[in-house]
Amino acid sequence: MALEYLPIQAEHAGPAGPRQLVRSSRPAWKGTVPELSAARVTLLSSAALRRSTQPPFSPPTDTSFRAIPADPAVADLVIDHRSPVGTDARRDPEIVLPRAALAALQRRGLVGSAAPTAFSFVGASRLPRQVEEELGPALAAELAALGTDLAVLVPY
Amino acid sequence: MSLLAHCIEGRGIPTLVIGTVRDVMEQVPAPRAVFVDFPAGRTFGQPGNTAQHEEVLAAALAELPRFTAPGQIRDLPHQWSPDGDRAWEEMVRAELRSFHG
Repeated sequence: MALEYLPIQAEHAGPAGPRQLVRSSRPAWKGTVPELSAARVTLLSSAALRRSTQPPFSPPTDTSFRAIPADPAVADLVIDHRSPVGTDARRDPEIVLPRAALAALQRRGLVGSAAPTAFSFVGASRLPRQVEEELGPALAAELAALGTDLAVLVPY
Repeated sequence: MSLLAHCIEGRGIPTLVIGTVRDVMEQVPAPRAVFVDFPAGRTFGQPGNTAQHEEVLAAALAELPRFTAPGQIRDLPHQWSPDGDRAWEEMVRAELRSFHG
């Protein structure tokens, strides 16, 4: 049985209380998925990852995003998310943004291509309206410009 | 992450959420989600275990054709400990207590 996180978070919530989970006001479903071996895949992570040279995020109310090279050789990634579960991810961001794994699957022919850019932002936002009305459309436009056939989103 | 997935999907790009926190994934369903029973913050496995990262990502992507309706969550068979031991749950609880407590 899967570990239940919500009771733990509720028990240890700070003065602001536990985060309210908000369902999409505009649920969407594209019935068909692309053939993976021909698809361009873009990775997204809510770990607030960025290059060390990029401006830091300001969790938890930051709704901006950073574009990160999908090339795993670009290794100067830092995590600004304040969650305490990031001990291992700070040592190896691949466990939350699997750029090398995606590149390997491309080499094996299982996916058509990895988009040259991945994206990251601050998860567990307390600003759902801004996420839906600003961050979401901005990221969708970036994904479309990259010719993305499949977006793989990794919650932190 | 569910909010973003629906935004992106609504603009015509299929999405796949790969997550470790099943109760949140159930409460705020994404269009398509794969659950990995690993500790939060370690979605693709142990640090440095590149073969494991690749295996988990490949397994998650392989679930894509099996979704038949929005909001479904498909479970991967992978376990954090090969013998199924769940001592890692206490590690996660301690991490969360250290932050929120």
